[in-house]
Amino acid sequence: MAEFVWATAQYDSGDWDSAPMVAPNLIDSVARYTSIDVAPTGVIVPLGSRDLFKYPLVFLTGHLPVRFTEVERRTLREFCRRGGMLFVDDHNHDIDGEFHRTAWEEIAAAVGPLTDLRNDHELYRAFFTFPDGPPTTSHELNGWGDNLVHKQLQAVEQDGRISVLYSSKDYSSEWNYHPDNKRFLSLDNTRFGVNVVVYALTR
Amino acid sequence: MRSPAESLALQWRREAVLRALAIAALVAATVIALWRVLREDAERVSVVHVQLAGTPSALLRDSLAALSRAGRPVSWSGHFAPLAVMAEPVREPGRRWRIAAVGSGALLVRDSLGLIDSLEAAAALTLEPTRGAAQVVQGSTIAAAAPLEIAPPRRALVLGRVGWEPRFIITALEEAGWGVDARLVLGRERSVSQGDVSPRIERHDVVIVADSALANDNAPALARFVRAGGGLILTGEAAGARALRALTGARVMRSEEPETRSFEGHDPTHALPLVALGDIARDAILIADREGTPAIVARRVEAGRVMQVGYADTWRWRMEGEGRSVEEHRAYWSRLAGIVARGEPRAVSGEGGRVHGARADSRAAAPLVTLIHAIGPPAAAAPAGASRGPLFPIWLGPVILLALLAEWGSRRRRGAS
Repeated sequence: MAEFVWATAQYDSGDWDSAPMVAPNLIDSVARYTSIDVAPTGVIVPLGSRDLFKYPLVFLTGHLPVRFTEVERRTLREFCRRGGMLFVDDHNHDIDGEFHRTAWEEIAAAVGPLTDLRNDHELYRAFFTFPDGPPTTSHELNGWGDNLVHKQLQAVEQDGRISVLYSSKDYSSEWNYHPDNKRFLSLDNTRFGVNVVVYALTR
Repeated sequence: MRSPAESLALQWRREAVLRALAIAALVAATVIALWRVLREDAERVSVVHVQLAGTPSALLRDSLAALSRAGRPVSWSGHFAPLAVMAEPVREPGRRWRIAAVGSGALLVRDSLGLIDSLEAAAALTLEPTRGAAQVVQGSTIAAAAPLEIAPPRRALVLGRVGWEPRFIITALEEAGWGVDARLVLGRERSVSQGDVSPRIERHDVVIVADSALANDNAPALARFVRAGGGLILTGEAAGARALRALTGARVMRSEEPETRSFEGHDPTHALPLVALGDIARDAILIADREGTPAIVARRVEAGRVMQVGYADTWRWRMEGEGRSVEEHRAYWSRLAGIVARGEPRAVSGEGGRVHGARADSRAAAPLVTLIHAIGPPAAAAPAGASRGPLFPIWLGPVILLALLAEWGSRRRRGAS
């Protein structure tokens, strides 16, 4: 079994599979830039299943309202207590949207309230260096969604570690393309995803 | 026919003889009594017997031992429970003690402030440092362990490749209170560092290496570190690092996949891959095995210690295990690091080691054993010489009485004639 497996959370409500190309794209980036032994394909893991504990980094995205079941809420709470990290991205890029509002409520109920993550946090130096904090996305710059460029990510930290990382920047759209198309980019926009993986594997 | 003068003289002589006999008997009785008193007192002093009702003080025990060594017969008797206690600092952050006691019944653990806990006949507990010596009481017998102190381990260094195992080892140690520095290799000439990862690894109390290539690459520095007193843990594949073979206490025999990857209902180590150890050196200690296969082996190397941990992917125990797997995984790594960490316990100076006003020493930890070692096993009964007999011989009274009666009768006859 490979050391690292990209896992996408499947939850009962909403559209958990709204960005299917994020997984292959991030797997490609991890393999391209690091020596991490990464599985060539990702997995989909139910949020309310104990299988969640097999993957200490799990990605969660969607457009629609998020309502965790009690089992999902309890499993996520235990996952974070054990040292797992959930990376949540708002595929709407809309802080007034349903995903954002409901996801914040559910995360607060399951793990704890989200707070702004400092832009000099070690996450932004875990592999690549992002001196200004989280990289902007083309969706932000084009004024889609809430027409905001979000300056910071949010997080729930436990014992000095990020348990839940929350993004309103819509990396789900930004990274949702076939990895072969990276060659058309002057700068690989998935590099921040590598930082998230390395951070989870080292902190 | 005797003349009256001759008869009178004969009676006087007879009376004189009887009187002399009575006086001689009285003198003899007095001499004998004095002789017996002196002799028995002499015997009483020469045989020292002590009836004990509980744990003797160190002063009494040492005095008896001194008399015994000086040639004076010494014996003791009384009910005295076999009891032993050991207290040592847990070599992990947090300044806790581990107290182990062995007795023949229910034991009470206390310190100078009072009762702490009760134990079964043979058990151990971990607790905050006691006030003064840790005492274990069974009936009237008290065993006391002098407190030791040890500088709590400060820092651990984790070396490995970026992955879940070193990451969760770091997490476990940090949660247990260790300061952790780390260097995790990530690609060619690229690594992720945390804290102080300068080449001066002697700043650390323990180094944990989770990658065989890193163990081999850093072998000279690691060997110097261990010989100077540091603790080294080689975990997973690193347990077989060839460049460190001179330090390790066992060889890697093979890799074993677990029979199951489920943690339900059995020892969690059964769900972990194992780098099986074997060919254990005579001066190495087997710490743990899995169904007879050596899994953890430790060895002292000059001033330091080296431990090989054959289990891999212990992070799965924390993440996928049942019940208190997080706490167990944390305690597991903290305990392993504590076993090899730099530092030796030493006796507490000052008032900390006093028991009932007397200083506790290591001999008080097993009082019965110590007493037997000092003056021998208990006597079945008090020595016979210890009880005083009658001062005068039984026959002496009638002799004196007869002599006095004869002398009196002689006078009566003389007066009648």
